[in-house]
Formats: sequence, C-alpha cells, structure tokens
Amino acid sequence: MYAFEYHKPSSVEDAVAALSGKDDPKIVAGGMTLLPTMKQRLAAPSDLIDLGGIAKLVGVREDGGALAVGAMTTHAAVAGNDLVKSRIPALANLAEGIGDPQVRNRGTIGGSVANADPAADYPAGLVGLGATVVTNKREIAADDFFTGLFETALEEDELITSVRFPVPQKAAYAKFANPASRYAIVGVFVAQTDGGIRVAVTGAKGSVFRVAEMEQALSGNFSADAVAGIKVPADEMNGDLHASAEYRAHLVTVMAKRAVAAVG
Amino acid sequence: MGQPLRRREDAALLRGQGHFIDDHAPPGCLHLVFLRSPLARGRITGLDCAAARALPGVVAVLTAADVRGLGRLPVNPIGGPVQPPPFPILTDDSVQALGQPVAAVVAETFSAALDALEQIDLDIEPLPTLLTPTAALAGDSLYPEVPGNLAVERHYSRGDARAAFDAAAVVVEAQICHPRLAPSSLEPRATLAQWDATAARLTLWSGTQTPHRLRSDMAAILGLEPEQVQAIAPDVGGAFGLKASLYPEDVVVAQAARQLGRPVKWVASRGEELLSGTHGRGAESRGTLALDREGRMLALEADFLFPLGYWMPFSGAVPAWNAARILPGPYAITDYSVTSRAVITNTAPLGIYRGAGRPEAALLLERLVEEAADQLGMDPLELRRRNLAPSQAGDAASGRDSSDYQALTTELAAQSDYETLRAEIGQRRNRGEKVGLGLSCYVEPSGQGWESARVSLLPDGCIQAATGSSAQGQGRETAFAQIVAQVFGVTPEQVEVLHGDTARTPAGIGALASRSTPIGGSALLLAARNSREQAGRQAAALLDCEPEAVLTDEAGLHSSDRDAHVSWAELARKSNDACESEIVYEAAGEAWGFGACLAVATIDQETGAARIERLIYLDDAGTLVNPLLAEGQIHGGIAQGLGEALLERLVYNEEGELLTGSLMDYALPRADDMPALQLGHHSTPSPCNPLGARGLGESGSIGAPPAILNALLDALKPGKLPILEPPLSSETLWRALRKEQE
Repeated sequence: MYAFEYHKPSSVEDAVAALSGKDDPKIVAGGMTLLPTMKQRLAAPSDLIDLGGIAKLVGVREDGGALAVGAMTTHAAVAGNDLVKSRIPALANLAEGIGDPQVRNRGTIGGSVANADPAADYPAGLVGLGATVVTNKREIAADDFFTGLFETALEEDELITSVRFPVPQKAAYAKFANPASRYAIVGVFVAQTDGGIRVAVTGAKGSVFRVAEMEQALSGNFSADAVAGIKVPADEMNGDLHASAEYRAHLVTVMAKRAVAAVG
Repeated sequence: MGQPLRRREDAALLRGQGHFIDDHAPPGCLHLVFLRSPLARGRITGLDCAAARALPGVVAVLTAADVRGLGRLPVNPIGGPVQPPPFPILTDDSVQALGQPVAAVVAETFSAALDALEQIDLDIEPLPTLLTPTAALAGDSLYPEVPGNLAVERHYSRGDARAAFDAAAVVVEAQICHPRLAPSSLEPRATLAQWDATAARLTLWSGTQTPHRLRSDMAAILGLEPEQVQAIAPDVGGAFGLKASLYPEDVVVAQAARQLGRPVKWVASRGEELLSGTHGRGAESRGTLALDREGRMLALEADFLFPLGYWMPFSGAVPAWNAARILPGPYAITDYSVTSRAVITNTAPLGIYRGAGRPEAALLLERLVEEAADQLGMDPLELRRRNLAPSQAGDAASGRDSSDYQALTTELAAQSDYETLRAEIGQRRNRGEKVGLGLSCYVEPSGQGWESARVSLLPDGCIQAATGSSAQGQGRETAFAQIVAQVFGVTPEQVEVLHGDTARTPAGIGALASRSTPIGGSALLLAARNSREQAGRQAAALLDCEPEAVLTDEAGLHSSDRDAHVSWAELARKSNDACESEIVYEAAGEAWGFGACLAVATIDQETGAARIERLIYLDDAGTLVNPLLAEGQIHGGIAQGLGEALLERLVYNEEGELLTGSLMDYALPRADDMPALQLGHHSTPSPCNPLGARGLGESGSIGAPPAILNALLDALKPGKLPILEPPLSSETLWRALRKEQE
C-alpha cells in the first residue's frame, strides 16, 4: 500500500468538500475492492475519504411506498432487515448471497453500486427492480446508471447517498456463482413491477443488461417455459477460465428460467 | 491411547495466542522481499539496482553476486538415480520460470522494501518456453546437466505383462491429465534468520516440516558446521508437503542476515505461494488393464510423466517414484509394467503435496477398474472384490506389512446398503436424473526408515517427550502425549512434548509421508518404555521392592502392596539420573494404510454443476492413537481430494503466465462444497512398528478423488470423457452432456 491522506468526514457536504482540490482522491465505503487493490499497489489514491463516519447514510426506510437503502448499509444489514425481507425478499436474498460473512459485514450497497464490478450482484437487483440511485446532486435511474465495465454515470464530485427500490409485486434472483470468488458468473434478476416485467443480467457482459425479448415473452406468459427458448448471443459475453462466452450465454437462459420459477 | 482427546494446542491457537513466523520480530528485524521473474523463460539483459539501493530505509539489495559460490541443495535419489538441475538461489543470467527470484530487497520496513522493488530495472529477453511435460520431453534441454530434460525415470515390473495382454479377453485404457495444484496452507512460507557474529551462529525460524534437515542443508549451503545452525519451527499453520524442503528463498534470507548482521524476515504473500511454492500433481498418465472373461485382472501397464519445474526440492523425485512403486495398489495383479518419468519444465517446482504420487496412481488404477467393470458388464464392487489381494498377516522379521482389504469392501457394502443403493440409483437414472455411484480402493504406504525420540523425567515430576518429528497443526503434541502417558500410567497433561527446535530435540526426519505417528510415535513409545523401566528400577530401590513390582499412576510410583510411595518429582530429585532414554528407532518395514470410498454424485443437466450427495470413507490406519485427530486428518484429506476432483487447478497460459494468481481464480473448497461424510475405521495393527500404526494423513486425498470422479463419470453415462482432466468443472460436464445429446 502506498501512503495516502485519510479523511473521515461526518457529513455528505464535508465529504464532497474533501474531494475538491485533491490530486487523486478516492471515496472508500466498505473497502472490499479498494483496500485489496491498494494493498497490492494496484491503486494509489492521494486521499482516502471514508464515508464510515456519516451516520445518516446507514439504514433502510420507507419512502413513499418504496424502500430507500442508505449507501453505507452493509450487505448483511440489507439481508437481515425486516422491511427488506417482508417487502422485497428477493433483494434480501441477493444481499445474503454476496461474498462471505466478512464481506457482507463490511461491504456496502453504495460501494458495490459505485464500483460497478461486472460480476457484482447488486447491479442486477437495481436494474431488475427499476431502482433509482440517489446522489448528493440528483437522481439517476438504474437503467442509466451503469454505463460500462467499472463505469457509472457518477461525476467526479458525486456521491451515492441512497438507492431507492420500488416494491415489486414479485421478484427473484438466481445466481450461478464463480467457484473461486463466489461472484456471479451469471446472475439473473426477474421482477414483476408496476412498470412491467424486468429481466436484468449481471456477470455475463461488461456491465449489467436487460433482456428485452425475455421481458416481452414473460409479459404474455409468465412462466419458465416462456424464456426457455430465448438465447442471448454469445459474442458479447465475457469468457474466462471459469466459463466461456458460450457457456455464459447458455447460463443466462437457465438462470432466467430459475428466477422466473422462483418468482412463482 | 485410543481416547478422542481434544487438542491441547487449540486453547492458544483459537485465542490468537499462537506464535507463527510473522509473530516473531526480534529487535532491529529487517524485511526482505523478492524481485521475481515476470517471464517464464528468458535471458537477463539488464539488472540495475542502484536506484533501489539509494532509497531511504533500504539496507541492501542482494543479487546473484551475493550468493555466488554457495552450496547446492541435495535431492533425495529415492528409488534410483536423479539428474537434478542446478539449485538456483538468485539468478543474473537466465530465468527458467515465472516467479524465479532475481533479487532481494532488505529494508527497515516492509513498505520501504516494496518501494525499492519498484525501482529495480530488470530486462529479460524472452525465450521459447517448455511448460508441459510433453513439450519438455520433446524440446531443447533447459540445462546442460539434464540432457533431454529427463531428471527421473523409474520402472517397476513383474512377470510378463505383454504376454498377458495378448492373452486377455478384455483390455481397457485410461488417460488422465492430473491438475496442477497449490498446497495452500493457511500460513504461507516464512523464514526469519538471525546471525550472531560473536558466536558465529545462525538461528532460523521457519514453518518447515523438517527442521533438522533444514539445519543440515542450510549449514552445508552456507559453508557452516551444523552445530552453527539452529532451526526452529514454532507454531506452523499447515504445510501439506509445501514446506518439506529448503527453498532458494530461505538461503537468501539467511545470507542477508549473515551479511548484514541483523535479523531478516521474509513472509510469502498468497500470490507468491501460488507462483513459487512447490505445486502438486500436474502429471500426465495413461494406463491399460487386461482381464479375463470372469473379471480376473491379468496385467497392468501404466505410464506417468511429471512436470518437475525448474529446480528440484529435496523430495522432488518422490511423486514420480511413489506413483510407480505403489502399483498395482491393493489388487492381486501378477504381471505389470509401470514407467514413471519426470522432466524439467519452465514452471514452478513440483513438491510432495499431500499424497505425492499416490493419488495419481490411485486415480489411474481406479479409472481402469471402473472401465473394466463397464466393459465386462460386471458390478464394480464385485470386480474389485474378485481382485483385491487376500488378507495377509505380515511379520516384523521380514518387514512385511499385514493387510485386510476385503474387510473394508464388505463393510462398505453393508454401510451403504449397496444393493439397495444401486437399485435406487438405477431408478433415478430411469427417471432421467444424472446420478452416479463411484468407488475406490487405495493404499497409503507411510514411510520407511527411522525417527528419533528422547523421553526424560523432569525435576518437577513432569515427563518430557522430545521428538525428531515435527508438527504443522495436526495436534501431534496431544497424540504424542497420549502415547507416552500410557506407558507411564500418568495423564497426558503430565507429559510435555518438545518438537521442531533442533537445539531441544534429537536429530530426526520430520513430518513427511504420513510417517510421524507410525515411526515417530513408535520411537516415542520405545523411549518411553526404556525411561519407565529406569524409573521403575530407581523407584524399586527407594520403595524396597522388585522393579517389576513397581506400579505407577498420576501421583507417582508405588510398591505392589501400595504401602510405599514416591511421587514423580521425588523420584526425579532422588534418582541418580533423569530416567532418560534417547533412541533412534528404525521401522521394521513400511506400514501401509489402506481403505475404500464410495461416493454418490449428481450432475445438474442444465448447468453441468456437480454435487456430491454422499460420501462413505472407510480407512484402516492400524492402531489409532486419537480417533478425533484421525477423523480430522481424514476430513481434511477428503476436502483437498474434493478440491482436486471438482475445483482446484493452477493454469499457465501459453506464454507461461499464471492465470490463477490469486484465490479469486484458484478455487479452494469451502465448507459448503463438502458433503456430509460417513466415516468408519478398521484397526488392523501393523507388525512393522511397535505402535501398530499406519499412515493416514494423506489418505483422504488419495481415496476421495477417484470415488468422486468415478461417481460423476458414472452419472455422465452414456456420455464419456476420453481424456479425464480434473477438476470436473460445471462447464466441462455441461459440454460432455451436450455432446451426448447431439
């Protein structure tokens, strides 16, 4: 790890202020990706701004019929939260399946979403539920938020403060985990929302994506059979040691079927 | 003895009070980090350390010039000649593997050392690589000392296998690419060295499995007398064969300490372990088995080709030798011909990862047996039973071990309710499920030769047991105390166990080859008997009775009528000596553990994901000193065996880059990958040692992979994998299923 300046602001305003005028500042939430990267000297921020001191970024509350999850709420807290468990059990289930207990007790929703790892679970949950990312400056629809491999719509001086999830009629998440890292090789989130059926896929490409063909098919006939014949093209899929592009494309269909079946 | 005592080691270890290498920090301790080759093979055209040396906090940068002229590590020529490549310490001319140490930075802090590492300029002109054993066998010689790269070749044969093949009714074949594995101990390799210039003495703290050999090897390499070196293995967080040998890194650390006159410490990162620790398996194997129509095995031919990497640790020849010499395993095959070769490659070195050649042999043989059953249309358990060697009594005089293989298959059939289980699986298959049953029988030879022990009565009345063996988390202090306590009639708590420190223990071999309990434990047993006998004689004089009449218990020694007593402490004070016995015990022969395993596995037809539903594991390790510890060993071995079968594989790409450089890509088994285990033990005492013990530390990793893989290949039927390449990942199985459907 290289030397850096450490800041621990107690408000969002102070955190934003701490960002300005620095060489290469980085915001740290749970640190589950950033800290290992820094330890391996693959990242060298000049300043680390720790959001762990901002109490109001933690917790889940009702917000006009939706659930607002504070950016610094850990995966374990989401998984164990009664509101989430009763209103959007699929989201609690998704959070429960992230990493391992250590990661779930440190890692946060805001950190995961801002990092936009192509194999992370939360992006599928956000896009699948049609969530809104709330920042210190504006609100961004999840569909517009994830723009590419580790890329988001966030600006330099923009912090996620919460994620607002509309409560779906029903939803489920089915994940095929990488045997080593337990990240998603393919994860599919399926939801019946007021805005229609949504099918969001993580792990398979550079960034989370929706499968319009599956959404249309499910709108007419919400059953696993309706998606069983829908193949996604393999040519844009990720391929690595654990799963080729072709296998990933196949798993998208399988996991979509399983998510639909789990929705019931 | 025989009691499932909990480990005395755990109270400290579970509270974080263990003392591993990194917990040792003598005053003024410096930190050492290595600059490692970023290429698999090449010629060094530039190495400039000036900028690194100039950084604040940097004390030295060592290069090949600092270690030139030092000695070589001996390589055990087990079972025949070995042609080892040179022992590399630091290199300045060529690199032969990714991760080969080129330079070492020594600095006041770890961070300063890492800063300096980035300032070293290293230029390497790449050369074509020989990564696989087949490529190495066909390629140019990497070292003039090893013509054709062939360092080890072993042949074992009996009878006339060729003739038997010609006469056979059925001949089956198997071909396997064994995955390259990382031993993955929780604590990585680590070494701390301190040089006392006044006394001209080197103290080495290391996680070694073989402290006494580390001492003598290091002394020879550095040009010191063994008396000038003390090696200490404190608490060690696992080894699995990874820490059996001295490494080039250890020499650099010791040399730096000697040159600088300050303590120097190196602790490997997980990445360094995956890159430069000894790997396991990695062989290519093929075999053929000939049978008559009734399923009698007539002859076996087998061939192994191992990738040795670019240097050989002390036991580098062992996997190739072991794989060949344990065939035909537990089966009564009269004619066989087995060849095993090992070649130098541009990869990390090959070590004796848990099993060391035995798992490779067991997997090849058990695949052949399963194939044969298939071809004959015979039940695989029945085929095994027809061919297992009959039970034999063995005897100490000739050093021939006893065995009873049939008893285990009989029990396996009973415990699994085999006929019913087969029928159920048949029904499930008829319903379209991909489910299969796999079996294996295995042997686990557990070392020959000697081990040392010293048992003495201390002034405070405690009994001290010092062993030449060592411990890396097996709970050996607990087990050894049980052996000695039984002889003295005291509680295990009254026995202090010393191990791992060359200044406090008699010279010995160490923890290898599943030999520590059979041979090391027997050495302690005999030393304890001698010491107890001396105590009896000394006490007899004090108690005024015959030595044979002296009784003992935890309080002390008593006359047979229990009228006269002397406590252990009193005896220690009053007797003329410490009732001490130090011995070197040589085993009468090699004790062979053996066992049988049954696995039931399913394949998810949509994803190809494998699931092990059930695993029954029966092991005969002879006399069990502590059944709880024995089960722990079997559990761990099975977990690593499951990793080999389903998850673990180190992968180099064609350029020789390691694609599995971290645990994000190298898949170790987790608790939820494990099925519930149904374990059972037989205890056929071995005549080869007075304890009657056989090895068991490696058994799980020998017997589990073939049963698991056989179960999955059974589930896959009628699909086939012409070449078995574990681990059977979900994608591999999915592709095989898809091919079958086409």
